[in-house]
Amino acid sequence: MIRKYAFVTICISALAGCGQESSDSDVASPSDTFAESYAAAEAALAEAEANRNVWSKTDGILGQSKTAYDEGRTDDAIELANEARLQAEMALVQAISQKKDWKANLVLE
Amino acid sequence: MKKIILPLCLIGGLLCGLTAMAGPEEDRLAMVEYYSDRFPDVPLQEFANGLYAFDTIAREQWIEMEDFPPYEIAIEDGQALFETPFANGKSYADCFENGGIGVKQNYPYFDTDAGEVVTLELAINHCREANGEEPLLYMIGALAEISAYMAYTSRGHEMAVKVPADKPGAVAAYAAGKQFYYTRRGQLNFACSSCHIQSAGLKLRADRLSTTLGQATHWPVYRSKWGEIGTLQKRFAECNSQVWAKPLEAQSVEYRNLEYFLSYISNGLELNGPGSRR
Repeated sequence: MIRKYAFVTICISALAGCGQESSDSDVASPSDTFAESYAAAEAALAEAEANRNVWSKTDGILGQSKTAYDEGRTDDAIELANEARLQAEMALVQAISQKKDWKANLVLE
Repeated sequence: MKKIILPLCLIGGLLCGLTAMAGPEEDRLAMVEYYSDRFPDVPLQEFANGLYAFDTIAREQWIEMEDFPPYEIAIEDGQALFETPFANGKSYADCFENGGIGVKQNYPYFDTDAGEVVTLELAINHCREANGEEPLLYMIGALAEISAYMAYTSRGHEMAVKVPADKPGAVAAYAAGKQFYYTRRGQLNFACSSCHIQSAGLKLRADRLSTTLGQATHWPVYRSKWGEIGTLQKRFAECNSQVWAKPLEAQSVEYRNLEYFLSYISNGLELNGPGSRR
């Protein structure tokens, strides 16, 4: 389930990155502890919210992370939190790039 | 991109109207021309019927449904709500020009004093709050029913949304709504235009995608999928969800600007709400 989320996100993120000028430096490295990873995910999500573009699965994944941690599945919790952070960061990249790239969608075919 | 657009404008003029800097009327005319060329057999007013303008089989089912329209009860309930006085003795008729009858074609409008777009649903709740009543939910329920009644009284009126060129706030709100329409969002990375301009008329699962032109004329709508009547902004939220974007709040600045843009694009088409859809 977790790997499916990661695989799907990476595939769609690749599509989202087409034509955009984002780089790997826009996305931070995964965190190693639950506290760090969860806090980082929350911060990224807050920034995506502030830019009015959050992907719909992100809140749920972050919730699953908390549940996993509460159930003692710390490795799963960290992986899910990092997934949520990745989604939030990609949504932020999308929002920022689309502020200028939206004009590319104006050409009627 | 400019090297591509300029020669195309010189050749055909088809694309010139819909540029980032074009005004509302240029945008509307460009849309009319685009869809008229793409669907040459569809009369202009028919675009107000959405996918039923060019999906023959779905149209037959829709016409049969219109014999006993599922939104009829919402109109009746909405009329009863509309005509019931508030606790202070006043009513919705006191808040709207012409007593609220036959006015939907003028919404949304830009309130220069408040500096924001006012949709009909927002105006209904403003009326309630001004008269000491609690606001209603924006997407479904009583407010959608009141909107359905007001839409019904406005049938046949041509959409007449105004974006005054001498009001910078209105022009900016329209431009923001237009930008929203063309902005990719969600994990699936779609813009509204991806479906309703580039893919209009094509099938998405069992349904054909409607055109931007005419999208705002028939609201609120009884969607069979919802089992009740719902507002245009409920549909905005649903569409955002369908591209895996977390919906914004009903009557948020973004959604009101979007409704402003969409409604202007349908100027000149006759209102035909409330409507029914699958």
